[in-house]
Amino acid sequence: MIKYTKCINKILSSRKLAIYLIAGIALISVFGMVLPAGKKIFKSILFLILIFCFLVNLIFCTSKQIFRHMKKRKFIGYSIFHLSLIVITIGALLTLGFSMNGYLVVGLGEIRGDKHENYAKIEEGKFFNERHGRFNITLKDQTRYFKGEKIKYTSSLINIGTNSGNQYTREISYGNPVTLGNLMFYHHNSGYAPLIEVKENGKIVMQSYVIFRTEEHPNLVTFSLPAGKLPGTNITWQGVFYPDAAVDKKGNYFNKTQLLRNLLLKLSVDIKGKSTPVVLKKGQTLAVGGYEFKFEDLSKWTGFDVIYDPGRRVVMFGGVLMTIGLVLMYLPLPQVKKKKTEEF
Amino acid sequence: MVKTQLIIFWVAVGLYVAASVLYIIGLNFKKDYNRLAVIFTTLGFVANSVATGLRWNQVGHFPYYGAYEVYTSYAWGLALFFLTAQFFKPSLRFIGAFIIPISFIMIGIGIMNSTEMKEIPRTYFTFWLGVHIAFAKLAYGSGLIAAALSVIYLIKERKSGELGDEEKVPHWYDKLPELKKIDYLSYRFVALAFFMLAIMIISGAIWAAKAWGRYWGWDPIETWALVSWLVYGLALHLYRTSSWRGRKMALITIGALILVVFAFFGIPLIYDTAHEHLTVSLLTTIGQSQA
Repeated sequence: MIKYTKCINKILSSRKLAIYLIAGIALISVFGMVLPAGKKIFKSILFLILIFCFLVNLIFCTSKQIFRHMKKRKFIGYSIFHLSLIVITIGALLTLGFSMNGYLVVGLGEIRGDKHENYAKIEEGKFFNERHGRFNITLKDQTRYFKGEKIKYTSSLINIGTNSGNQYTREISYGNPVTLGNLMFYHHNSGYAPLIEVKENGKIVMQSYVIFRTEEHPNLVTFSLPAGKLPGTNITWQGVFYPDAAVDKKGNYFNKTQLLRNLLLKLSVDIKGKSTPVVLKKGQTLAVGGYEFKFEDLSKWTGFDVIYDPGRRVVMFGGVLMTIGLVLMYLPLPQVKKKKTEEF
Repeated sequence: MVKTQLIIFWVAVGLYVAASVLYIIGLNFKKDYNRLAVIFTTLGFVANSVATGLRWNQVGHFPYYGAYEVYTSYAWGLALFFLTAQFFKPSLRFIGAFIIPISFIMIGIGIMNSTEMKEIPRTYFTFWLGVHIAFAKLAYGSGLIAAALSVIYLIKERKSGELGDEEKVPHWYDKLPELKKIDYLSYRFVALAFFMLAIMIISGAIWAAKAWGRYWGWDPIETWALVSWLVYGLALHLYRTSSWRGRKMALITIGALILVVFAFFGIPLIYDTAHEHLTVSLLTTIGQSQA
């Protein structure tokens, strides 16, 4: 039994095994970049097994190193460095298994809870197990900062209520996130939500703020509603919102600036197979094929990336350890310097 | 302002070319021209610094955005790294014959790109980006010197195999250190490159976590930087544990540099990455050169 234990210990703490594992991780990383499967390789079972073997090998090698060279100052740096690799790998596995990354759209004045169905897009770790309900978020205000006639950046004032009863009011903008423990909120994008009222034969069938998607192109930002069914009706619609509409020589609408000056809503409504344009200024009503469309008001929305990552702090701690280990490894020791002079 | 920068960059190129010629002549002739070459390198570095400083003054931050700024500042970083290394170890001066030509080529590529000032994304306004860029330049410098030493090792090793007993030894052969010393120096710079790359990756991860909410996203440039770091780590392990010395070490070091160069400059050409500010300008350079 002891013989087998020693044999297993020898294999698992082998530096040659470490070399093969490092080479394997490097190769698979290259494949992950080159092959069409791409990033899926980094979530595959094979890669996870490799990382796990690397972690086990690291633990055995580092333990052997620490016990063997405990009193030698030279090896403190090496030991801390390899310990940091263990910590970082554990943190990375925590992120892979237990993290959540979701995209949440919140309208001005709206309260959105941390529920799976509220996220427009969501990615969860294998062991996240739908552990939602940690917070709710309210968009209290949104301010756009202009450089000339173009939006430089947008900042949002949000209120986050946690399930422990705490309330946090923070300002958030792109590149300026809000962190609460393992929860992080990032300002992803923002846009407009016109209040549209639709009546059918004098009866209101829809009256709500409609999220128009913001799309950023070089030198151009558009706010569009993709084609879809108008709720409560059998008609389909799509549209574009213009914050500062102007007409070119060909009669096409475009945005003169990004300032809110000449608001215009251009819809394309498909009623019984017939497509009809509906162009509305704010406050205007237009009747088309038995329906009445009204552009009542304008609101705003902000899209947030909500990230729950229990591995993040572990990895960051590992990064700090690694830096300390590297500095200690590379600090010149008097006896090493003397040896070099004698050799060369 | 831009015209003045370009003129001074051309002056730097001229001085670096003169220095390169002196390093190469110094290797091939009996007389030692290395000191004079270092003087020209220093003058070129001063010109490079002035032009970089003017650009810094123009844009309001250290030049790191856009191909023009990236290449010229990398050339500056490389020259600084070489001058520092040869100051502490004068025996390294001969590497100038390999390193300084790269500096003037990088300035040349840089100044062929657009000098237009671009709007920097708000996520770039962070202390960690400065750390990331500084250590990227140091990593590139260390890797380049390690690879240059490896190339020299291979050339000298090949020549020593060709030399007969009575054959006259060329001047450059004698001027280069012993193979064992070149190998050891290369290993030391590989170790330095490993350290610099590690700090670069760590600071990049912190920046990414603050900017985009994830410290690692398997972005192409992140992944290639990791692969480069792993290869340097592999080289160090092989040197210390499996006695991979000499030619084997030289080949792996050169391979690692190719990965580093590809990660920094090649990846943005092929993939959409977080370092996309390099892409368009490089394609413009290729397009211009073909026109």
